[in-house]
Amino acid sequence: MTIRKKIDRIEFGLFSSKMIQKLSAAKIYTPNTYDEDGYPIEGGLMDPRLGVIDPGIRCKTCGGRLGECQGHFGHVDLTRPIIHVGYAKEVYLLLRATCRVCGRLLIPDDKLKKYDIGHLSIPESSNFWKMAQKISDAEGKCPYCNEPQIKIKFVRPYSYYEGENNLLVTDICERFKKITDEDLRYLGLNVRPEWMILSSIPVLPITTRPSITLESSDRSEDDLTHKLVDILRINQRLEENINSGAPQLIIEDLWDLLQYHVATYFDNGITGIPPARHRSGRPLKTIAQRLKSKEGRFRKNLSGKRVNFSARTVIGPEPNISINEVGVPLLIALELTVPEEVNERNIKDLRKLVLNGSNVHPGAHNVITPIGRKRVMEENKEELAKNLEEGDIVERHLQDGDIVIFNRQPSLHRISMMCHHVKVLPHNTLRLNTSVCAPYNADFDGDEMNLHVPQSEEAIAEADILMKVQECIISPRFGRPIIGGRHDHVTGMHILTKDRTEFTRGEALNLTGGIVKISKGKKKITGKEIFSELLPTDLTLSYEGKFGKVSIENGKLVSGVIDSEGMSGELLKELFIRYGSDVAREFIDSSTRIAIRAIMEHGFSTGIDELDLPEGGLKKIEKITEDAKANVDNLIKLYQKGEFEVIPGKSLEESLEDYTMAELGKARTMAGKTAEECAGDNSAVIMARTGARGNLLNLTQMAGMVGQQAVRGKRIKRGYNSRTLSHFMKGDVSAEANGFVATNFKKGLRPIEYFFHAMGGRESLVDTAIRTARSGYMQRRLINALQDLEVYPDRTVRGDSGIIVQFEYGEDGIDPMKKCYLEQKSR
Amino acid sequence: MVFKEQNEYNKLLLSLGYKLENMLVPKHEVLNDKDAERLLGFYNVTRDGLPKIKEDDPALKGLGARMGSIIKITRKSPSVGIAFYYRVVIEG
Repeated sequence: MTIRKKIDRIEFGLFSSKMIQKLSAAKIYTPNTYDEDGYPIEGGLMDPRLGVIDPGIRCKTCGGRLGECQGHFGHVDLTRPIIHVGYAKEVYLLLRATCRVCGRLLIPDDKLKKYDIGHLSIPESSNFWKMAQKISDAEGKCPYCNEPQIKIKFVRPYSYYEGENNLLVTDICERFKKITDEDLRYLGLNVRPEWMILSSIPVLPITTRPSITLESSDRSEDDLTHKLVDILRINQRLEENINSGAPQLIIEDLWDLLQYHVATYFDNGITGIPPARHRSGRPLKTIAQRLKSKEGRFRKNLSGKRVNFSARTVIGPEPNISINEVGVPLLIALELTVPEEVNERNIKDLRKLVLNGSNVHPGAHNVITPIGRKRVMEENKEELAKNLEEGDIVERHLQDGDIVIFNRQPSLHRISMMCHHVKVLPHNTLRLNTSVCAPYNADFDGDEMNLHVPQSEEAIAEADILMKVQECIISPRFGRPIIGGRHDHVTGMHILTKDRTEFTRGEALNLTGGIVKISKGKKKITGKEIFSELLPTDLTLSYEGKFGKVSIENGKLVSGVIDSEGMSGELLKELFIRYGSDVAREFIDSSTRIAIRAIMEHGFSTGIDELDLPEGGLKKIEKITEDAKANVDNLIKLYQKGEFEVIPGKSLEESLEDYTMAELGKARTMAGKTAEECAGDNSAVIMARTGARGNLLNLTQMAGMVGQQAVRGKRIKRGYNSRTLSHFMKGDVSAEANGFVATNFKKGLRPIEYFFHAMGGRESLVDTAIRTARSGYMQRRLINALQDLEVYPDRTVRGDSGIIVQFEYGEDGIDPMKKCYLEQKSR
Repeated sequence: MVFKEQNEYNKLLLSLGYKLENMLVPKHEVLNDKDAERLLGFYNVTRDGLPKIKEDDPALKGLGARMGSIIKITRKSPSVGIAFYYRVVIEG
């Protein structure tokens, strides 16, 4: 039983100068760091009492060696106090809320007495701030000492003016000392305000700002050390000037400089002051910069970590490996290792691996015995192999069949990381079956992917059972297959299973050799029969394909043609549900390979000549365009007369827009239909109809008509004063003046049409750019908010400490990935 | 009577014992002690483990809910038709 404790509250506070001095291991007073011999100076920034960064030296404070001693804080006593920039605003608010003479809260006693100091709510104390500030802003009188108040001005980042006079930090400190603890509690403060003013600053241990020794044996100091040197130098100068009785003006200038250096020591990104720079001109990276933003300590080093046992390289296609496999370059397999425990059954094999050494492929890198870990090298490999015992662990090379996790960024959903089995292959790219491109959203134009090798038996088993590619065929997003044949696989299978495709036995064997068996005896074998060999013998199913009903009886494709619905849709889903992931994987592997052979055998290509329409077709499309334009002109005439029916809830102009949009949309659909009819059964149409690639809209735009262009979902209206381009009359509402493209891509666009098309194209480009940026940030926030929610066995969704978030997962308790089983049942 | 704001009108209605009724506000009701215990037992949680609702939530006006009582919310759900949700009343 783990004991859970709940954090009741966290209280943040401030260190007083006394506390800073008390915590300090050394007082730092000189800006020099090393003497002539290269030893750190006592009282310098590299004081040996602040910790160790060189090996072999013991810490002067705790006696620890490098690695044992965490380092110790030092401190610098400032000659004059300084405002802590992080609290500059609080200092301002407090100056306004209290009397300039007696330091009491500027609220009359009778008002305060109504409240209980111990139980103030946050809105109540913020109310006190406001009430108190009202008096000083209006230059009223203190209700206690009757002193008239002067309005205080705050100039960012750290200057204060009372009326015209500059408020000195020492004076502010004096005022703050007078404020009573009781008054502060009304304001919700439980720290002394004079602690917001620094008269000592802590010096970070040297372990946090190690100096680097360059090759030329020069020392290069950390940015923070540089900054501290600046502070010390100015501090010293200020002290000298004060002691020698320099004029007040010079002292104040130096004081301000000291303030600047201390402020930039904390945060070098404050608006209103120039960032402190290195000699080379690079801005210094001070404390706030170390922690802040994506590259800061939190997001880079604490929430994000780098891992071992991983590989990354360019990916390439390999249709002849299973979807479950990943082709790993030999070079990577030689580097990555899997720990394997020696037992009586594998000791012989592991001996061989150790004997092979670390540079020959199935080899090993390390042997871990109870005594320790030993690297396998040429000199000791025989001895290591001989002494191998049960219970030892051999870190062997990655081999065929090992389990790895494969990933492509951006990892937007769970199927961006799936488990594959290793297949060691020659050459330098990671290979994956083209059917698994979809979940990773990968292509081969230079994409790179990552590989991770789980190192424990538990991790391996978990990855294998839960994350294997074949278990991820059904997408958790929409409950239908996301993995499966696409593009040429679909076309190929369409060609193969079309009616009246026949093969001789020889041809059929050529297509199916090594993939499925073809029964003997028949002279002519149809494509449908070949496809049937891929199906389980007891499958009976019928579904609506893209070319009408597809029916399968007892594992035989009786009628219908296989399209994308068969390769990666309904049919695949049914196989997955009824026969499990193994059968579904087998179907994808074999069907894609047969489909590729079929398309290669048949030959398949496409080109622009397929967009040539016969004379009749072209005329028809022209007629459609003209008719549409005439109809629009008619509408405009009606509009000018004000005769047509106004759509309820819309103005006359809006109704006209809607009518024209509908008319022009109709024109394009008709043009598309005509083009499709005329084009017949060429490759482009086959691809669009089977769902392999492209859609009929693409074809329409190429062969028929590009159609109406839109910006913000409306016809193009922007540009010049009440017209789109200077070629048109003002207020022209006709089709061609508002972004209607009557030509097609094959024929070519007219310049004005081209311009309108570019306008629409630009909008979609900008949209996608904005969408990715915004959804990325949204995703980050969602993940941060939901990362430790969990579905419990009783189907409730609970947070970190068992707090219920949802009483039934998704209100219906259904895993979208498994919802197809439910549909199955209800049928 | 002239009301400066709809809010004031609503306040008056509530003070007269009317409940908040709006098609967009799902039905809120207070569970009786027996049902509340059964609910906690069913999900094996304490009151700390339930989602919370503030005592001064407008939807609780006129229901007589006190701190610690459990509110049953009957929502329309696109996936299951009617979904139940429970919240424990906390300090407002």
